[in-house]
Amino acid sequence: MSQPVVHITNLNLKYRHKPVLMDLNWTINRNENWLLCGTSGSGKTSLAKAMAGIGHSYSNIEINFNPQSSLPAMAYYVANWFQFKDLEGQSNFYYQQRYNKQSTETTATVKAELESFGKKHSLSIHEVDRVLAALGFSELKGSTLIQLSSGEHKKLQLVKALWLKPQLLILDLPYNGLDVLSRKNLNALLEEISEAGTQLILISNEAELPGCINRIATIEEGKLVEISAEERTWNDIEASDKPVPTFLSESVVNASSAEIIRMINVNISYGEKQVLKNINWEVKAGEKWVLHGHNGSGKSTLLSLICGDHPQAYANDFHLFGNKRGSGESIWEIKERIGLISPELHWYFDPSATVWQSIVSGFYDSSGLFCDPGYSKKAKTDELIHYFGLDEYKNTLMNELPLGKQRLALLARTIVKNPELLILDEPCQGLDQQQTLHFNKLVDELCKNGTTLIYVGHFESQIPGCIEKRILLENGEVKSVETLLESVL
Amino acid sequence: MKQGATLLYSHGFNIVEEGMQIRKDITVIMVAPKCPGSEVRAEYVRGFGVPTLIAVHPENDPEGKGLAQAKAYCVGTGGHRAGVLKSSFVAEVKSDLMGEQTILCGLLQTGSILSFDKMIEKGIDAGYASKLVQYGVEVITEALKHGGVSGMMDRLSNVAKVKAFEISEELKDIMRPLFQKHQDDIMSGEFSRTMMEDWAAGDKNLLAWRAATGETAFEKTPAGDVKIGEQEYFDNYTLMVAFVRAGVELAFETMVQAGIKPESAYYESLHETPLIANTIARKKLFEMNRVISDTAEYGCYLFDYACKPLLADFMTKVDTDLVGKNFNEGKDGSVDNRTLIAINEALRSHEVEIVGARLRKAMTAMKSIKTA
Repeated sequence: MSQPVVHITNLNLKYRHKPVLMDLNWTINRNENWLLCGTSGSGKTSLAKAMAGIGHSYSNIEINFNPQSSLPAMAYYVANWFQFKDLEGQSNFYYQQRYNKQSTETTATVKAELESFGKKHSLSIHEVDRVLAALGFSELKGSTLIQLSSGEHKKLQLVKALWLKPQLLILDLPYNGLDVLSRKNLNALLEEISEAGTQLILISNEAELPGCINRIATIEEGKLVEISAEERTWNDIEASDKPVPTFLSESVVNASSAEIIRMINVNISYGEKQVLKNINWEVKAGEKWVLHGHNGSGKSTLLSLICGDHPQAYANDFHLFGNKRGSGESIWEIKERIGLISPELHWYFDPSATVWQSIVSGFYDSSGLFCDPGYSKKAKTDELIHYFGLDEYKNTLMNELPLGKQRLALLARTIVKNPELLILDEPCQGLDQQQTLHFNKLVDELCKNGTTLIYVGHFESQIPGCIEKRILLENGEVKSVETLLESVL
Repeated sequence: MKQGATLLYSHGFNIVEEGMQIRKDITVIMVAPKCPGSEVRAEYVRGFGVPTLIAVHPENDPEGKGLAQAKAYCVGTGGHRAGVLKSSFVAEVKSDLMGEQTILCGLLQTGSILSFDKMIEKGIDAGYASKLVQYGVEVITEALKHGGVSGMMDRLSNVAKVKAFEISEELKDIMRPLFQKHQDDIMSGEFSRTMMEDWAAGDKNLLAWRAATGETAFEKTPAGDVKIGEQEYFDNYTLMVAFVRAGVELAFETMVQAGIKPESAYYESLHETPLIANTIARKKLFEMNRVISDTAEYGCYLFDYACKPLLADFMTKVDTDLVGKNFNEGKDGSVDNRTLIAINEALRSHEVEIVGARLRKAMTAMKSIKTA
């Protein structure tokens, strides 16, 4: 029998002083490709980072690379988070900066970024083009990093890994933010590199996986437990019996206007590049919309207009809550009426605030808390923390929590003020199946009270039931607007 | 401009130092955020703001609406959340000039170059020395930003703190006359006069000095590919901690003696030091001088050229335990209780600490630097 590729014996690991892995054992043999799934916070990311030797190397993790293989002898980890830097090596960016035309030149282009990655790992620049094409990324080579949407950043991370083709590739939540077609293409590319000798470890809770995955495991109480494909199915999910906090069942105060959004021939462009073209869209109070479109179709730019984050709003015929943008309102008067979650909001959020502060800050739409919120806001926050099961993390700093828990706290922040317009841009990224289901049920509950909803999600299974209308964007244009079901009211 | 319009400045230089005259029907106000512009925007969009000085030009307030407008503008930028001071065009420009040419830019430049040269002289690896100096000011002043001078000094071991206190006292004595000369020249307008002469001569001095800064050994030695831990920047660069303490306290004391309000002196000395240190971490001193205004840059060179000779004797006594190697190495770490208590007391009771603690409380949510 040949040597195992990975051999882990009695691995103990702490995450911020709490033990997450306890005497964990794992053997990975040649030709095995593993899926690691399970609940958020079980230690999947910690294990992956330990295997890739990030931060610390462990003597009880033994990795035997194949000396005969022409593939790079390394365990390469693709993180569930992205971090880019400007040309001066800093990563100090701020929310909204991306929409600012003058700021776009401060980061490297995709092309320059790929060239420097290729140089570092001695890769042939010609080989990357095929990967770029397969993920629909070729046109973005000239874009700067700060211009990319979150889905595009994810693709850039994946392009690097697929180009590198290491002997062991660990992908942490690789499907986050990818559209349906890209997921399919990613799976095909993964099969292809697995064929050519790369072994995969995939951390994911998605249903659609590459066919080469042949072993499945979860982490339970700090130990690795192998499960069968059937056990992975969703039958362990029960609806939460916790009642929705009463303050969220109150009807939202509706604006004097029945009209939430009216866009007439809205155009957004940066120099020659047009991001939105002649957008016409009306959203009436109480409507529930889903916004669909491929990565890079203009979804986040469209939403940034609605959230008061895009300066070109003033150059367009665009009404929000019945008022024309640029008629004397401040962005805070707009944000006051909106509950927003998006990958970008998460990315730019203050990581040094506690869970409790982060949630209360939803009343003020700020990143971090700057004032004493008073009794009733504190009481509502506590109620919501309990509802989301975050009691034990109440005073924990955001950056000390795993991604899924951070996301839950930000979701609580989004709804805490029971806003009249909810904008949920891929709200369930990083959540496990049960959390996703719970959250969507909560959204359905909230929407019974007259809340207007705009939902972005690439996966049908993740979309709440109350959706009644759909707008589809393609290359910056409205491709279609349709009614999915008639409102019962 | 329209009849009765308002003209807003973000600093006092044009009105005070250039003597700009504005038409009498126009209201002239100042809203001066005490941070670079990108920081002002970043703080605004996260729902906060930066400390701001506001003022009305008394000769241009025909309708008496200036102060109300300045306040409103300041609220518009979020400045009221971090702290607003009613100031004047004169106070803003005199304190701004003083801060930037002494502690903010001048002393950081002098301290960085002397430290680097000392390490090279004593045989410390050049790449290590370059990295320690380039990033050291940023890490050290980050502690200053959150906890003031005493917060920064508390990052040192007890023995190192005692030593840093002693040499910073000595540094204050040596440099006090130079700080006072700068303040005098700023107050009398002598500084602006010589600088504007240089403008008129096509920036002759400024450009020569800028070129010379680009040629220093520190500037030309790339930071080595070595890992320096956060605490190591304190332990191996105790000299810079002493420079920063001496510079911040001296600049503050000199400004307050010259009649500048302590709050204003705090913003122009301690508060802004970490912001300038960030620019050094980016690309060393040439970058710092490129980013800051020509006025700040000119003052920085004046200070630097006068300060280096003053410190020549002092520097002959400095060895690698203060810069380049861990100060605690080979020491048993014990200190005299009474000495330590007296030092802590002196640090914590300094006026810059009392004022600073109050003003920092208003800036409840200061961001940490996000360096990766």
